[in-house]
Amino acid sequence: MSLAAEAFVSQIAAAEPWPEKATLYQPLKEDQILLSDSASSLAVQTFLRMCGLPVQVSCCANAEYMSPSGKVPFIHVGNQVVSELGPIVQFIKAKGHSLSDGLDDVQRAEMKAYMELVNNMLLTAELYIQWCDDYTATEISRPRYSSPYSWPLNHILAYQKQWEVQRKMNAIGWSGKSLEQVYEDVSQCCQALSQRLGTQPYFFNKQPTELDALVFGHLFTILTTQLTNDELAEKVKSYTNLLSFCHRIEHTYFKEHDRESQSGSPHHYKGSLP
Amino acid sequence: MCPILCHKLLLYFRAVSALGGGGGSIKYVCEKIFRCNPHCNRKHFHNCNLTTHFFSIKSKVSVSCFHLCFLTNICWVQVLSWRTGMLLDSCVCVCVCVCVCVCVCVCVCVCVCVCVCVCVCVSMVHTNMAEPMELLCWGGDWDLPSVHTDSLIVLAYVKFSGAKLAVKSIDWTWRTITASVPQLHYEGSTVTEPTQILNFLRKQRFNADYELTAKQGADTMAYIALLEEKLRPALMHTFWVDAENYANLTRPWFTSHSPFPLNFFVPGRQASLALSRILLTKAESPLLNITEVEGKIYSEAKECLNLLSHRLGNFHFFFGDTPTSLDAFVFGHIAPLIKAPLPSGQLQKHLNQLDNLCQFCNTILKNYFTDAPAEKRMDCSPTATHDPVDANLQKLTQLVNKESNLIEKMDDNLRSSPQHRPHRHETKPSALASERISTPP
Repeated sequence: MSLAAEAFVSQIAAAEPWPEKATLYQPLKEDQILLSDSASSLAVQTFLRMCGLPVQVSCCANAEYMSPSGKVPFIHVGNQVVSELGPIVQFIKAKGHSLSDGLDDVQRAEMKAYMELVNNMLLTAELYIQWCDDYTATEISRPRYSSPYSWPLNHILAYQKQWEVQRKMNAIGWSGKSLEQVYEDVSQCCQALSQRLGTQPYFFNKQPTELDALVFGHLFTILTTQLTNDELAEKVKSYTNLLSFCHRIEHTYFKEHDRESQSGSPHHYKGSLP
Repeated sequence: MCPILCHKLLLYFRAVSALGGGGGSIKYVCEKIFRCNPHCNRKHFHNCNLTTHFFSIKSKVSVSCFHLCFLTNICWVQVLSWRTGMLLDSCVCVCVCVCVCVCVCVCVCVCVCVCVCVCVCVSMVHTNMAEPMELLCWGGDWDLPSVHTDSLIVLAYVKFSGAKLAVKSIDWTWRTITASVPQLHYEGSTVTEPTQILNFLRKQRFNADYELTAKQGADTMAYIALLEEKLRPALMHTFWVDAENYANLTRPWFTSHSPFPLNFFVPGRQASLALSRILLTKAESPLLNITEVEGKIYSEAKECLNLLSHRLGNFHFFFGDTPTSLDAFVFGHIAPLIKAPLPSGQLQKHLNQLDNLCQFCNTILKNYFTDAPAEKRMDCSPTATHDPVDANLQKLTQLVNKESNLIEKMDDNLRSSPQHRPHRHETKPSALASERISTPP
């Protein structure tokens, strides 16, 4: 959305309360969704649960095309459709719910910086492994991405997506990296997150923020996704405080809800946490 | 090597003859050579006695050989200067060419071999004279040691960590198009990209981050990611995509600092790379137009600058009193923005209002890049005692600026006709600002 439209939307959004039938759209859980999309979707779901806002998860094959920015997940609330974690956080803030109000300016700067670190390193690494590593792309990504479509559309769409991601990797300078270097980058990113977390329950002491939601989304998905090899999950597992952080958030926000209702489990096609 | 050269020379002969150099005599020579050995192929050319054929032919062919040698020598000289990055003196070039062309009567192959020997000797001499650790970067201007962000980052880190290396500017050499700058040469190995170079320097025990705690090291990584994601696209847009800046500042500067004929290619190539990077990373599907993307990246960049200003506060550097790699990265990004005389710089205006970042930049320039005496550091201390009233005023100013920028954008989008002057700006920001503040958090 252009800047003016965003400003209008947030003004209008402030007027209405959170409706009962808010929906979150993502690609098909069992067959279609990939690692990076699953991580983003889980991050948004976690954030909404942390705010205490109920949302129904709806899986559609064409979620990517329905989204206003082309990225999943997106939420449909009342009259508005908002996609990606950043705009969703702003939208919910305009409605009056915010997790990061208690932070001062320096802490808010740190939180934004760490969110960028996760986006820059973890998300880009996930995209690289999915689409730029030939073996993974052939075995997992292309078949899954194109599973709802028939021949020849499935081939065209899968290759189109792969070329788009490869062009982007080229532009930011990641195309020259080898798989080992990417794993090394993931390891460094996890080390930074682990050092920042330390022994605290959440990144900013007692209260969870959107950074916690984002980190949980990515790490949980990496830990529970079956890829061609387990090296990515091993890199994350070597940091014990990150593992316990994931367990804690899963237990606090997902197990209780699962006991109440049978929906919204974060366990996709992958399995549960080790 | 030699038979392939002969084959190529024969191809050149044919080309020269087609251009009217030797006329029928070239064809005669070629046919002679081919017929002298009917089973002649590339491997057997060295058996043919080229020398006797050349002695027996007419003068037109010798003129063609002269042309050929001249061209070959020019090519080798250019290749030499491209590889070593130095422009040989023009008279040296001419002398070399003339001396070698004199030998054209003997044999063309001998001439080429002589050229090869000359090139090899000169390049070997050049390698023996190489420095132990050498950094290649763009040259400086506007009171800065370099105008290129990545080069500035590495130069600043080198000063902070006390590393000794020779800094070589690539201006006016062919490296402006061949090398990816900055580049560190050490004992035959090459390292590019600021992050890799900084890692390399740390391994060589030039470490400016020695005293940081683990958490501060993690913060460094996070802030560097913030800079790359939020600030770098807007910087690239300001210098390379914005039409006024590009035409009046960036392109003339890079054109004047590149050798002929590269001055036609270097700025254009950099500009297209910058534009494609911005569009690929920032333009999602509804924002396919560069003008729509502009609004988004500039607002993100202003927010990033505000965040950096909040983090820096009243301190000299980001982590205490000594500069670290994060200071180098921030300096590399904001120094060109502060110092460059940009014709249209809304981001520059925003940055000039953040006093602590400007002070930070000037401190580093004064203390590390002008060899000023250490007493000058004390000049910065009065600013450290700014009272909180100024800080609040600064925050209010930033808030009002944010609002007014937003309103400007809204007005631009809503009113397409240029004759409507936005004279209602003064009343709107305060009204909207109070509305925003009264919205429940």
